[in-house]
Amino acid sequence: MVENLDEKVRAALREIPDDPGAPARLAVKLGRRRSVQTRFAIAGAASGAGSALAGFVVARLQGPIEFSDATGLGDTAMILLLGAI
Amino acid sequence: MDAGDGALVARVAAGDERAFNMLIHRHSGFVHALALRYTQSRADADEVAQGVFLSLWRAAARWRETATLRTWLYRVTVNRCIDLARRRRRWQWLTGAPDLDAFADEAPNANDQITSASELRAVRQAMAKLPERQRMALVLVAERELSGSEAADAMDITPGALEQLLVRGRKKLRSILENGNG
Repeated sequence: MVENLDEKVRAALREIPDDPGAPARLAVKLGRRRSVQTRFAIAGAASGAGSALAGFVVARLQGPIEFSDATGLGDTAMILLLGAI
Repeated sequence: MDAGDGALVARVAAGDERAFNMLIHRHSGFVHALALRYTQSRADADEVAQGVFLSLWRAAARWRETATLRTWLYRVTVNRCIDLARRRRRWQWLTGAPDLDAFADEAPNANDQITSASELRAVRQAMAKLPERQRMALVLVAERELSGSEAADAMDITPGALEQLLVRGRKKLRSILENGNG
């Protein structure tokens, strides 16, 4: 019989160290992702298609896109598109 | 005096990136910590936290102060953690691949006694095998130390439904620890 289960759960999860650098790292990553997604949306609207996905194609044709910036826009679609372009 | 969350969200809705960064620095600690304890992976916790704050950026114009921002962020974090865990489970089922990012595979802390460290590692590994919502209920109550009503609110369920999840989660966790299966 496992004794003090909640206490063990608490202790087990608290062994995972906090990540004090997370807020700063998130702010930087989110800034880049918002910037790229805005670029997609603008390019999509300009293309007449009005979607970020169409924007991705237009933006990609205008220049390289770092793959990590594109995650969150539909990873599977991005993988397929990157393979196709 | 610091601006309130409601005022900052209103500024985010108007495209104010500085207000958005203030909200990230104010709230991402608990969002990331919950995701980290739930996923047991720093990379997954980063992904969840990014998704939560992107949701905030997109939803800011529609956000109404009917609940606190903290409660809203808890709910979005809970949903994104559970969605990610389900995707991972499906992917592992499809590929048979182990989860290489899990902290459960890390070496124990040198300050811990060996028996204690291995036991706690076994608890983490067992938790990773729990159904997603049972695992989340245990993390919110046992580790985050939310009250029953706060944890139920975060999961958008009744306190009674939370209690059922906790009972089933503890029972299954015991079964995995004692017998190696659920």
